[in-house]
Amino acid sequence: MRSKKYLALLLVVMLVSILAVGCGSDDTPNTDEPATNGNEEKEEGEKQEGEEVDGTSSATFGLDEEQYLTFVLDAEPSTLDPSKGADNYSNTILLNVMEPLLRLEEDSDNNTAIAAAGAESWEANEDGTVWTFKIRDNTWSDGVKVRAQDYEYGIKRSLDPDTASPYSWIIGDIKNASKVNSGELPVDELGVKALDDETLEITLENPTPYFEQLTYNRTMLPQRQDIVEAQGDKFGTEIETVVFNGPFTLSTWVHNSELILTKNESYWNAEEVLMETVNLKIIQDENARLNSLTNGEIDGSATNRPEWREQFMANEDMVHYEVVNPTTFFMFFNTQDEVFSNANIRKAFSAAVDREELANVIFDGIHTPAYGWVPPTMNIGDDEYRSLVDGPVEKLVKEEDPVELLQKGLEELGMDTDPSKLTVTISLGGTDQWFRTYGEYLQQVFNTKLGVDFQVQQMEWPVFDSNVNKGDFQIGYMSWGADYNDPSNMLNLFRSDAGAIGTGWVNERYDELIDLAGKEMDVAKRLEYFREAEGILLYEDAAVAPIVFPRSNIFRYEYVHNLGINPFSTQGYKNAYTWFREPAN
Amino acid sequence: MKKYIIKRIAYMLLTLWIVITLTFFLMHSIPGDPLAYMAKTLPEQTRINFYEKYGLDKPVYVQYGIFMKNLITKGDLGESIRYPGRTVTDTISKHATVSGRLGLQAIAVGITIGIVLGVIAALNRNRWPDYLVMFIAILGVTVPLFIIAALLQYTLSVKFKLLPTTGWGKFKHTIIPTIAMCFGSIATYARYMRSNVLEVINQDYILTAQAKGVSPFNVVRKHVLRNAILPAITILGPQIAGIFTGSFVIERIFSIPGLGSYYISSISDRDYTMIIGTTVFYAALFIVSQLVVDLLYGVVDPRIRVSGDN
Repeated sequence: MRSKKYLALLLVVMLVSILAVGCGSDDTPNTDEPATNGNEEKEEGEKQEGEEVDGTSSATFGLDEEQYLTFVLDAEPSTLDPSKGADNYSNTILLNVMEPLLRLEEDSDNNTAIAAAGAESWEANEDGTVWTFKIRDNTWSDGVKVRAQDYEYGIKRSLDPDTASPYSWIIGDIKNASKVNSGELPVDELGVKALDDETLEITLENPTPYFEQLTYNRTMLPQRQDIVEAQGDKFGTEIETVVFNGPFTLSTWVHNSELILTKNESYWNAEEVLMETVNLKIIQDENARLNSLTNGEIDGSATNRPEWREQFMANEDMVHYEVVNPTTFFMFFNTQDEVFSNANIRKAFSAAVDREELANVIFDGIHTPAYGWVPPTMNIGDDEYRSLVDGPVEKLVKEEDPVELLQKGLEELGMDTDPSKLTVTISLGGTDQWFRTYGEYLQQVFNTKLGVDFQVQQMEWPVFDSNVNKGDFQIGYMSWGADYNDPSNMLNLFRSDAGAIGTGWVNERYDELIDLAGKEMDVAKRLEYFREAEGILLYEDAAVAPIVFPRSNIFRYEYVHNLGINPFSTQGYKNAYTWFREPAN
Repeated sequence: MKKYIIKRIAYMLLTLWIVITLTFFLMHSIPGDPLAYMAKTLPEQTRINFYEKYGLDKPVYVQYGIFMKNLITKGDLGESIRYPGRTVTDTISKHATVSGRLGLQAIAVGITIGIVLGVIAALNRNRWPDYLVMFIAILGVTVPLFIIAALLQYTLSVKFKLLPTTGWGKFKHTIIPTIAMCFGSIATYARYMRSNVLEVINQDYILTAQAKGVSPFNVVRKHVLRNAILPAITILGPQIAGIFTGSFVIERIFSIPGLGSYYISSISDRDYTMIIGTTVFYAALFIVSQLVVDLLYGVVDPRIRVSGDN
């Protein structure tokens, strides 16, 4: 009896599991049988997914009738609430589903320029403190007209201390922004005002030459007060809680799995948007992502791994782009530390690093050696800053001998001038193999070149972060990516009150130069201020030692066009189209 | 029986409370904060506002009090810090069902194949089927999951394009992950079953059954399997708990929106509410599944009678 009961139980368990499996297959109505994909493999040339075969291409122009793209997001977007979250993934989505005041559009040479977007025109007063934006005729996805008040509300909400936006500091140039953000002044005192439905006036604390570059930041995106208030804390967590006014709307959002953007027909410029659908799969594992690219399941991706790079470069169906990112990898010194309070010692450690060799050994020759603080691709006016100003570290490496510098520094400190008695520790905010190799490399460099006893400490990133904040380190290693396209974004970080990079470094002249450049509207003058400031930062005081500027290797199938590669551009997918995705038979 | 269950539940709650308390204070004592994921040092005011919003400015014991109060009175685990606006309970229930589906599939397949292989191996002791099964079992236990997964992904979807590389939603998406995941259970169950069957098969009552002329199939089904399966149930407990918590490795490689990734990412993100939420969930599942296993023993083996049941 009992054995029968038991068997019955087992059977039930199995039946249920079989049912679960069975139900699953019901979800796939037809066409999508795995076998379809398998058969196709025999066809030479283009490798497509089963469902794509039916899409007949318009033979005359080559423009594919079905316009869709599939890409990968490396991680789940935190939220679609523009005032909360600060991750790149949600930034990417927001820029496609929302319409910022202005956009940074990329031209065919991959240079970026400010262009009208949510505002059809804009102007600044003479001294650049009052900016007036004429809001364009545009509609929200629920049919409501976009008004200047929506932009006003969005900005105010981002700076409201109750919102606790992690990005609020970026628009600190708006009049009363910091006082509003600290709760000293009510939000209404903020220098943002909708004069009428079509006119937005923004008053700034000081003339801010790079203000246009802030208008596409998520903190300045329009938000609908009625929706935000109705949704409360849920705003931005699911599609149903948000409305869109950008070139696309988000039609599917399966957390941690997939997002689908669909062309927004009510977008003001919808007729120029060719792309109908953009699928964004969330794949965290790099191998899985690149397998999907090989497979043709996605249309493009980026990798710096040499073995994959080679494989894709040899693939005739793919186009390869190499892009320098507006990011700097650097070592920074704790100037409050006994040893590194001395500028000559800091210079010695900066000068001792052979950046060419490091880029080759550690970064497989992919990243570019960094001799300046401001990364390439950053513009001042219309020109790339780095092409106008030589990296100050170049001078340091050329002119100075690191060993002498170290000797001099130790003498100045009244310490034993025998470098082998000096123990120096670098803190690395990562525990994986890459950081280990990196630490060992630096150890070898400083041991042989300077003769010091160089120690490497690896720790988890949050631990590193908290140690640096406490000043509990000697040398740190970090990267910093720019948030907007102006050298001030990178150079402001070292203003003595910025507290962004825990060097504890204070230089009055540097602060003065940064302040001057912050208020100066004349490009040539700003350039000179920045040049001098960067020289102080890297050459005279060497508070930080830039190492490399990272590069990305982007691979896309050749049918993808007009998508842009400039890491700063904020045009999103709206200009992209595919051309001859389907091989013309 | 009733008394026994009530007593067990009381102990379970106590254990759960200890786990929650320990986790709560431990996670707040590790350095770093939930803003670290931005990899940027933020201005003081931004930090202050953020801390205030999420109640992180209060002393840890006050935060603990608030958390416990919400948990007990409302069953509320709070709101994720890393994913603003999403409640932890919502996130867990959404992603645990994904993990659950995959886990159930894998465990059903794994147990079935594992038991069958184990019995086959034992009945063919020291002959080639035995060696083959044991070879598979050793492979299944020793080769890391991510290697099996990567190999399957490469062969089945990149090389032969039979199945999609990643994704979720359709049955075809679950095939490779299921195969990869059940490897481990196949191996474990096959080995357990083999040794248990070998033990049982030499017992007198088997000989009796055989002497009575029971067919070999029925001997296995009615006498061997039933007695040999007991120890296998022991390992079922933790596995049941594991079904809903998912596998970090598998979910990452196949990009499956399960709960597994939250266990790791919430810790590295210092997403406190999510850390405690997932921990509570796992602990509760684990404890409950232990109870279920203990009760199952009684059902399967008449010799075992839970105490309190006279």
